[in-house]
Parts: sequence; structure tokens; C-alpha cells
Amino acid sequence: MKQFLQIALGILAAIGGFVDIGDLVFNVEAGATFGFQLLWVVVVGVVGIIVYSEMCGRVAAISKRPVFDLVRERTGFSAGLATLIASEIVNLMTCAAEVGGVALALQLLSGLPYRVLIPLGVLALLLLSWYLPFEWLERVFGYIGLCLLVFAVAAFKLVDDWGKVAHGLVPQVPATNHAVFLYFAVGLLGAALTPYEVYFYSSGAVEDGWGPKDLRINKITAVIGYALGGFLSFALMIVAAMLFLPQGIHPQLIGTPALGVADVLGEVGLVLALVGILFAVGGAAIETSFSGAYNLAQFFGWQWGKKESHAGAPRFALSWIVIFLLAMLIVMTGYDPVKITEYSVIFSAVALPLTFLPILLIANDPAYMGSHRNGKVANVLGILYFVLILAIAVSAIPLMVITNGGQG
Amino acid sequence: MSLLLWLAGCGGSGQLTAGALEEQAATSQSLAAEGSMLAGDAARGRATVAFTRIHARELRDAAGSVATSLGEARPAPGLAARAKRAASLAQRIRSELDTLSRSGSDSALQRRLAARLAADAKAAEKLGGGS
Repeated sequence: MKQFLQIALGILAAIGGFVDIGDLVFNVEAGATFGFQLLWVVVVGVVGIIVYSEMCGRVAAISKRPVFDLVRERTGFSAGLATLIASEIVNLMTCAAEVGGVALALQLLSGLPYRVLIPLGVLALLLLSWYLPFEWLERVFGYIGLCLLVFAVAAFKLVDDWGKVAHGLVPQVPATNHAVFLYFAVGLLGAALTPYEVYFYSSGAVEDGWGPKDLRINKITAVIGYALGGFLSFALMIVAAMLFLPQGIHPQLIGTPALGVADVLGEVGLVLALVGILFAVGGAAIETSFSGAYNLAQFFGWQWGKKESHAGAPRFALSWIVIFLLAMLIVMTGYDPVKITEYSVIFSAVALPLTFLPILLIANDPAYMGSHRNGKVANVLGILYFVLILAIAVSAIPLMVITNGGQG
Repeated sequence: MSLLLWLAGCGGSGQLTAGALEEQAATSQSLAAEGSMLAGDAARGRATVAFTRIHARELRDAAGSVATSLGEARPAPGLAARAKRAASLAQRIRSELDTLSRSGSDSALQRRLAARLAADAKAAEKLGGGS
């Protein structure tokens, strides 16, 4: 019973924590531009993050060491350093985008000035990260992030022909506008397969003291949690496809998806959507700052962990605080958080191979994994996804330039 | 980072081509349609006052950027009249969104703005199509 409860709570947190600002921006823009035609790409992305998160959790549970620790050992200093630099740049950009999203959501809820809410939002995130234990952080943000389910309610109220929606699950390419379609496909995959998620997941597994007995929890949490999280991505895309596409609205603001919910469910729906967005992006801001600190500490061999006292892991604590402060400075310069999100997702797509190749190698290495190394299914999927990741990495920036960031 | 963002996203200013004019008209159309939806929701009590104020202000700023950019551009030969109409339409949308951001809970005004912005969206669509 206790284990069932643990799994259920983990799944709920994973659903609420699945959507971050990248998912929000790309799913809504994709739905408003191509209707349901990109739904199948969400499925591809969700399966990919399930495959690699399961590998990361398994590696952490068996080796008792997080992925980044092993990346340096397995790939050597130079390749490890390249991975570290790429991951830290992407983490910082993503954290800045999430911090901007927090301030924007707070502004839409309160009406207070954005520039005042940026430092206030960061201060709140710093205090929560400092005082709340790991499980509480994960679950509070995950559970309140479940308010995003209002998008699913709105989607159910809007759709009258589910056959059309289901057709979007069949892989397809539109007759025209191929480059923009590919740009959004790459963006959706980049938003689903963000490196910080796997680093955070694996470090969290070590923090939670996972061992071989937790492999089942790992598998169930990764599969069900991410699959149901993907359901929220569907809902975002469906609402955009039903409401914004017919009116020619190209969402460029964080408030636009919430406006869609208001249009269908009224003021209560609007407030729930904004609270859901606030906690989803707030949770992701914490995950990105911690992920950056985990990577640094694990690479340089510092003491690390949220479960350590701050004095026991001072460089780790200082790292996540500095990442938050740098993210705040980036947003304070006035860059549009939605634009930062688009760039962070695209640059993250470029850095994906550096994150996912070491995971695949280690999960397949009997020296680390013994009898728990990848089976045939995990290897076939892992290799297929790695090929896809390479294609995404190569095409991401050219597509962004050619399509002017999806504007056509 | 600034360099990366600049390399990734910024464009330069220059002559306003037919394609660029269509893009700007499409942006105006999108902003007007979204403004109309927001005004309609505000009028029906479906959006909070704070949300309406802030979101309308963001849409207004975006419409202002379109108006400025169209106003400052050098239209390609044969596009001057269309560019002028597009700039003045973007300016009108900006002004209506500004009024919406200050409309508080005046639902009658919000209803009127919803209708005007819907008409602007149609006008922008026509303009983008070359009519």
C-alpha cells in the first residue's frame, strides 16, 4: 500500500511537473499554426523522454551515482567538459525563460509591475528552494501544477469531432510550409527532451536513495508520469488548434493560452490556468537551477545534494543560487521570456546528443550496470532516438534562421 | 548570450517588400483578433480586471511595434499606399487595445471594442491578401 501511494504521488508530481515554459510556448504555437497535424510529434517526444529517463533512473539506482558523475568518468575530461559547458548554457537560458514566465504569470494574476515581480519571484523561489526539503519541492510544484488540467477540460469542451484529433496522431506532413512545420516539430521534440529533466531525474533518484528494488517504481513513474504529462501537451495544442487557428491568432504571449481557457471556462478557469502556469514554470525554474548545480558539483567532485545541509555542500548551494541570480539578470535586461524560451529550446536541441549519448553508453555498459544493462527494446529505442536526436541537433539552428523563428 | 540571441533572432531594417508587408498585416490581424477575444471575454465577465489590463497592454505594445516599424519602413515601389493603410490600421489597433487596457469593468465599452477589433482583424486580413 505504501509503495502504491509512493508511485501514485510520484506520478502526480511527474504529470504536474511535465509542462514547462518550452512546452507551453511550442505546443500552443504549433496548435495555432498547424492545428492537430503535429500531435504525433508530441507522442514521439514523450516516448523519447520516457526511454531516456528510465535509463537515467536505472543507471542511478544500480550505480548509486547520477548520470553526470558517470559522464565524466566514462567519456573523459574533455568530452565531459564540453557536455558540462553546453548543459550549463542551456540550463541557464532555460532557467531565465522559466523565471521570466514566473514573473509574467504573477503579473497576469496580480496586475503588479513585471520588473518588480522578477526579483520578488526569484526571491520566493530561492527561499522555497532553501527551506523546503526535496520531496516537498518536487510535490508542491507538481501538485499545484496539476491546475493545468483545466486545459484538458477546455479541450474536451471545445472538441466536437474527436476523429479529426485522432487523425493528428498519424504521422503526416502538410502540403506546404514544410520548413515551418519542421521547425515546430524540432521545437516540440526539443521541449519534450530537455537535458535538465534527465539530469534532475537521475540526481533526484540518487537523492531519494534508489536501489535495485526501486527499478519498478522508476519504470512506472517514467512511463505513466511522462505519458500523462504528454496528455497536457495534447490539451494545450488542441485548445490552440480549436480557438486560435480559425481566427488567425499567432500566440506570442504567455497570457494567450490562459485566454483560451478563459474563453471556454470563464474566470475560474482563467485563474486556475494562470496558477497552473505559475507553478509549472516555477517548478521548472527550480529544476533547471538545481540541474545546473548538480552538473557542476558532480563534474568537479564537490559535495552535492539537496538532502545535505547547506553548510555540508556549500559549493552546490552557491551554484544554484548563482544560477537563479544570473537568470534573473538576463530577464531584467528586458529580453522577452517567450523569445528566450524559443532560443533555449532550439539551443537545447543542438546540445541533446552530448547529453543522451553518454546515457546510452553507460546504460549499456555491463561494467556499470551488470545484469541491469539495456535490454533489446531499450537499445533499439535508444539508438533510434539517438539518430533522431542527431538529426534534430543538426537541423535546429538552420530551421530557426530559415523560418525566422517559425514566422515563415 | 546577447550575441547568441542576436545571431539567432534579430533582423535588420530595410525596404518594405510585399512579403514583409503581408507578414506585418498578419501580425496586426492576429493582435486584433486576440484583442477582440479578450475584450469579448472581459465584457462577459470571463477575464479578471488585472488579466485584461496586463494582457491588453502587452498586445498594445506589440501593435505599437508593428505601427512603428511600418511607419519607418521605406516601401518598395507600388506598395506605398498599402503600407500607409497598414500603418494606420496598426495604429488604430494599438489605440483600441490601449483603451481596452484601461477599460476596468466597463462591459459596454469592452463589447464595443470587441466588435471594432474584430472588424480591424478582417481589415488586416484583407490588407495582407493584397486587396
